Amino acid sequence: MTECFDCMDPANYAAVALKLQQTALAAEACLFPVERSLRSAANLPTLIRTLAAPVACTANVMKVLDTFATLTFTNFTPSPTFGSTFSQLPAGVWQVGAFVNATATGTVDDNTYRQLSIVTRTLFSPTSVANTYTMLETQFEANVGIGVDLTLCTTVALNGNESIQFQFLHGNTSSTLNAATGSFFWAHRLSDEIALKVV
Amino acid sequence: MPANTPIYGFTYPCESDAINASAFSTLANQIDAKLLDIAADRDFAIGRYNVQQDMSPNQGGIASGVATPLTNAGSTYVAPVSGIYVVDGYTSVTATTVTYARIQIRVAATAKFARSVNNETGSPLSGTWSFPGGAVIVTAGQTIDTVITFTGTGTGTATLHLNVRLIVRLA
Repeated sequence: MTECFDCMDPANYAAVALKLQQTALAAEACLFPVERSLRSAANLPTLIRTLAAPVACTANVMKVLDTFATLTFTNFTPSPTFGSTFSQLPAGVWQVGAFVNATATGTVDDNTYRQLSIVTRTLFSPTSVANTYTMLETQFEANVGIGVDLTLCTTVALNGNESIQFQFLHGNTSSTLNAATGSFFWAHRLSDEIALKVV
Repeated sequence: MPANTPIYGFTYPCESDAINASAFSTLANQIDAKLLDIAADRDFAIGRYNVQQDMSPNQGGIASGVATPLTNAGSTYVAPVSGIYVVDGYTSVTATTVTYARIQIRVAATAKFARSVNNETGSPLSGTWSFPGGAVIVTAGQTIDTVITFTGTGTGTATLHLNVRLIVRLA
């Protein structure tokens, strides 16, 4: 039997079958790495975590909301230590965002503040150590019965040894606030921290 | 009985199969289809789906306290492919008085995120206000749209500028 098409004839079907098998496997071996490279370049690491249940927040006590969230989506293997969380994300430039609906569980103190923050912190640093990055959104309760909707989006540069925290603070002293089910936190890697070449 | 490659399932005949022209055309068409698929990946990597659109005309007749979907031209976007989209933009609502307003971003008529503003002390509702980006998971063919709510007096008129950008393709 031969692998050469030129030598095939009606009595040598096995060579045709073998050639087609080799062609199929060779095409697959050629195309798969190209597709993988394109898809990993196009679909950059992304993580979304969502509150599956309300999180009660006491007035003037900072709450790190993302620690209560459950995984909604990820397309990469995050930290081996912390799993699919916002701690120890790979180094690089990340777009980071959050949405929180905060609704009082009892009496509403009209025009008291609601504050959502996206911060980055060095891993395992004590609370006395300042954030490496802070972005805030502050709103004041309008008391219309549906709470306050806070949305934040920013860009941070991570060094691979930091965590992102989504912190919530409020001044509604007459009752606790619930960060609602469906509030979510997300991060999407944009690039390496250093652009090797700008085209 | 034909066999298939392990990753893409390209079909090739085995030794015991009767081999005819269709065996060649089937394999060739499958490889061609995968090449087109990869070309689509390349196009996506270079130029992602990304729209910036204004609602026109402005939408009036919005009653105070009633969550009202914005439906005028330019207010909605139908996802061309399944993926994660970042949605942001800016909006405004004017009426005789406006004390509070909220815009919700929806996917397939389900609210995903929102931003509210409080004008009880006089600002910032005198003009346009933004809603920062939120990441939403969307299936191809689903519609991204918005719902506006305000409290105050008179009938409201809303403006909308909508940005939608695909960041992860899921299919």
